[in-house]
Amino acid sequence: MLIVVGYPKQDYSHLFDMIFNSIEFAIFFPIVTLVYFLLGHKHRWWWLLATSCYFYMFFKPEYILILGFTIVIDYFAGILIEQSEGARRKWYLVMSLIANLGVLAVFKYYNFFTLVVGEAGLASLPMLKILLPIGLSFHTFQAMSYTIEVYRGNQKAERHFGIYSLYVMFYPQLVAGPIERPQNVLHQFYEKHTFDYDRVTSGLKLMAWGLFKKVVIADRLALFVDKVYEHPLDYQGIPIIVATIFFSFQIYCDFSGYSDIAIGSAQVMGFKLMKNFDRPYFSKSISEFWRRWHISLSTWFRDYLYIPLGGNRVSTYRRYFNLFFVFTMSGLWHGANWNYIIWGALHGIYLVAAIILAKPRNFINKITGITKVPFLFKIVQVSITFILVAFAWIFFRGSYLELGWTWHLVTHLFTGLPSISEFLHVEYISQNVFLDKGAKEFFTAIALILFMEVIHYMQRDKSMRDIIAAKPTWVRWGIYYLFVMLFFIFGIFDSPAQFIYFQF
Amino acid sequence: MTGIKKFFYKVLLFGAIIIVSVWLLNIVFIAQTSPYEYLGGMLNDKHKMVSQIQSPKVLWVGGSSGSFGINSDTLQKHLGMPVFNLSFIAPLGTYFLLNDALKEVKKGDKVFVSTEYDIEKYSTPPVIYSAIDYYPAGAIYVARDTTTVDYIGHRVKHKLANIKKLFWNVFTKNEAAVAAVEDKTSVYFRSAFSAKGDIISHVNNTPKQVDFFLFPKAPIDYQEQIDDLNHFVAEVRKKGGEVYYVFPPLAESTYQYGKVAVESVEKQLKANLKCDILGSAKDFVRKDSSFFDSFYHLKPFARDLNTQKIIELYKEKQK
Repeated sequence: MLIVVGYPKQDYSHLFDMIFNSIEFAIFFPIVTLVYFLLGHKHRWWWLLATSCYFYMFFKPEYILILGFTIVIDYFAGILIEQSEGARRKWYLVMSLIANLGVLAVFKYYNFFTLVVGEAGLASLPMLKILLPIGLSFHTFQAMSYTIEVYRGNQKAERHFGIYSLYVMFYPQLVAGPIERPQNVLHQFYEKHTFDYDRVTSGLKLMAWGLFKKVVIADRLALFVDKVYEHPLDYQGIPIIVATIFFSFQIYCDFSGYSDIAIGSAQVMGFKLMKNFDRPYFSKSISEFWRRWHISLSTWFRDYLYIPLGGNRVSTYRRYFNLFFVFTMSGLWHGANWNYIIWGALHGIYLVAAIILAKPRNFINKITGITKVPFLFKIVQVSITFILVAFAWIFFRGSYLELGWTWHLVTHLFTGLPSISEFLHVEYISQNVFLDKGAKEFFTAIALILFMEVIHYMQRDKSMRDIIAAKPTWVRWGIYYLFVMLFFIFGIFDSPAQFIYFQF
Repeated sequence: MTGIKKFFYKVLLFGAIIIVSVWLLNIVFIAQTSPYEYLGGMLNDKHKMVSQIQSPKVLWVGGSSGSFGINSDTLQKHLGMPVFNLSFIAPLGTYFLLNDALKEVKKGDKVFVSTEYDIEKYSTPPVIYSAIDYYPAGAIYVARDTTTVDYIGHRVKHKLANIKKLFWNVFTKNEAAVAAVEDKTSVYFRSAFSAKGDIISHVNNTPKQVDFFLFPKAPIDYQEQIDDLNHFVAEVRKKGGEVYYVFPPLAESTYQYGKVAVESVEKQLKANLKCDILGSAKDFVRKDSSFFDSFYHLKPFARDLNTQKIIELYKEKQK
C-alpha cells in the first residue's frame, strides 16, 4: 500500500510490525541483547549494526538504501571537513546538509510544496506516490548534527564506517529518537559494556514504565480522542475539550513511552541516551515546557538554528522573529502540513507574547498578591501553561484533517455548552463527557492519568526506580507484581497501536 | 558477566510467578463463567449430547442460521431417524465447523450442511480463542490458519482479556448468569437450546430490530469454503454417511440488497460442490417479519415453515 505523502494520514499499521509494543519486538530484543553480551567486544558493533538494519527493514526493506545514501555522504563529509580548512571546509558541510535536507525535501516536503504551489495557481507539478520513510526526520537530524559538530570542531570525524553507520542506525533510537549528538553517543560504541545487574534491571524497569504509558494510558485515551477527531464536524463544546485534554496526555504517554523504551533498551546494553522528557505538564511557562518536552529536538533547534540566528543576543524584534521562526520550523519538522506549521507557530507566538506581556503579568501578580501564596501561584502557572499547550495540540492532532475541519474544532471549543441542569443529565454526560465509552472507561482513564502524574510528582527529586530499589525485597516484588497485573487489567491489547511519532 | 546468573534466576522466578498467576486467574474466570458461557458451553454440551445418540442419525451442521432455522422434532418425525442440530455460529468458520462436526459422523448418518453466504474459511480470533477456553478440543482447528507467533500472541492476549473481565466482574453484575429459557429477554446463554440442539431461548422473547443491509453487495469468492465442504463430503462418505447441502434462510430485504453476492455463491456451489443440493437460494428467502434478531435467525413460526420446506425438498430429491 502506498500513500501519497502530505495528505492524508500516513498509515504504517501493516507495514511496520517491529514496534516496541509488538510480539516481534518482545522476541527481537532479548535475542539481540543476549547475543550482544555473549559476543566479544570487537564483534559487537557489527551485531548491533546488522540487527539495526534488520529492525529498520521490517518497514520497507528498500528504504535502507536512503539511509545508506545519507550515511555514505555524511561519513565522507565528516572526514573531508576535518581534513580541510577555510571555505572548502564550509563547502563540504553545505554539501552534506544539502544531501540530508534534499532527502527530506523529496520524501517529506515535495508533495506538500506541490499542493501549495498548485492551490496558489503557480504551477501544476506531479505528485510523488511514495511512502514517507519511517523516522526520516529523526535520523536525518541526527546525521546532520554529526557533520555540524565535526565542522565546529567539537567532534572528531569517525574513521570506522561501521561505527558511524551504527551512530545513525542504532535501533533503539533509529525511528523516533532521542535525536542524539555524536559527542554523547559515538564514543560509547568503543566502550566495553559488561553485564551489570543494576544497570540492566534499571533499563528493563524504564522499558516497562514506557510500555505501561503507551499500552495502558495512551492507547486507552486514544479511544476517546479518535472518536471526536475522526468526526470533528459532529462535535462542539465539551466533547472537543475532553478529547483535547485527553490527547494532551495521550501524546505525552505515547511519545515519552517510546523514549523510555528506547533509552531503557539502550541502557540494558550499556548505552546512555539523552533524556527526552522531564515531567512537561508540571511546567510553569511555555519556555519551561520546551525545556522539558522532546528535549533532544528542542535542544537541536536551539543549538543548530536558534543560536546561529543570533539567539537572545540580538535586537528585541530580531529575537521575536528568531523565536517565531524556529518554532514554525519545528512545526514543519513534524510534518508537511499546515496544521503542524500552525502548531509550531502558535508556540512561537506564545513565547514572544510571554516576553511582551512580562510587565503586565508581573503587575497583575503584584496587585492580586498571588505570589505570596507560592503553591497556589504554581498551580495557576502550571494550569495556564497546560491550557495553552493543550489548545495548540488541537492543530497537532488535527494534522490528519483538512485545515478547515481543525478550524471547526477551534471555533467550536466553547459553543453548544449546556446549562447546569442539562449538564447534570445522565444522557448528556454519557454522550458528551464519557463520549459513549461509558463511565467505567472514562474514570479508568482519569484514574490512570492521575496515577501517572502522582508518580511524576514523586519523582521530582529521585527516580521511582531508585525509590523502589531502596525497599525490602518482598515490597519490591509486590510492587512489580502489582504493576504487571495493572498492566494486564488496564492495557489495550486489541492490536499493537503505532507510536504517533513514527510518522515524523 | 557479573550478576548474569542472578538476573536469569530472578527473571525466571518472576516470570513463573506471573505465568502461574495468569493461569490460575484464567481457571477462576473459566470456572466462574462456564455455567452460562454461550458458545464454549454449547460446543461442549452439544458434543456430549450427540455422542449419546445411536447411528444412523441425522446431523445438522453449520452456523447459527441452522441453530435458529430448523425444528429437529419435526424433522425427526418425517425422516424417521434421530436428529441432532450440531450448528454453532458462522464466525467459527467452515474449517472449524466442518472438521469439528466430522468426528460425530458415523456409518449410515445423513448430514445436512448449511453455511451462511458470508461465512469465512477461518474463524475470527476473539471468537475462536474464547471458544477453545471452554472447549479445548477445538484448539487444533485454530493453529492452522495462523503463524506460531500470531497464535501465541492471540492466546496470550485472550488470557489477559480474561483477567480483565474477571476484574470487572467483581464490580458489575453479569446478566448472563441469571438467563433462562423462560425469561423474555435472554437469548445467548449456555442452556439456550433444546435436547436436540435447536435454539429455543427466543421462543417467548420480543423480536429485536434487524439491520437487513449488513450484508455483502459484491460477488463473494466462495472457493475456499467449497474446498472445505468438498473435503467434508469426501470424509463423510468414507465413513459411510451421506451429505446434503441446504441454503441458509435469508430475509427478503437482505436478499434483494445482496442478490449479486447470494447468486455468486449459489452459482459456485452448484458448479463445484460434490454433494446433493436441496433447492435453490430463493427457496429459503422469507419475509422480513420472519426474522428474530438477524437476517439469518428465524422466529419460531418461520423455523417450522423452513423445516417443512427442507422436508419437501429432501423428499423430492429422494424420488
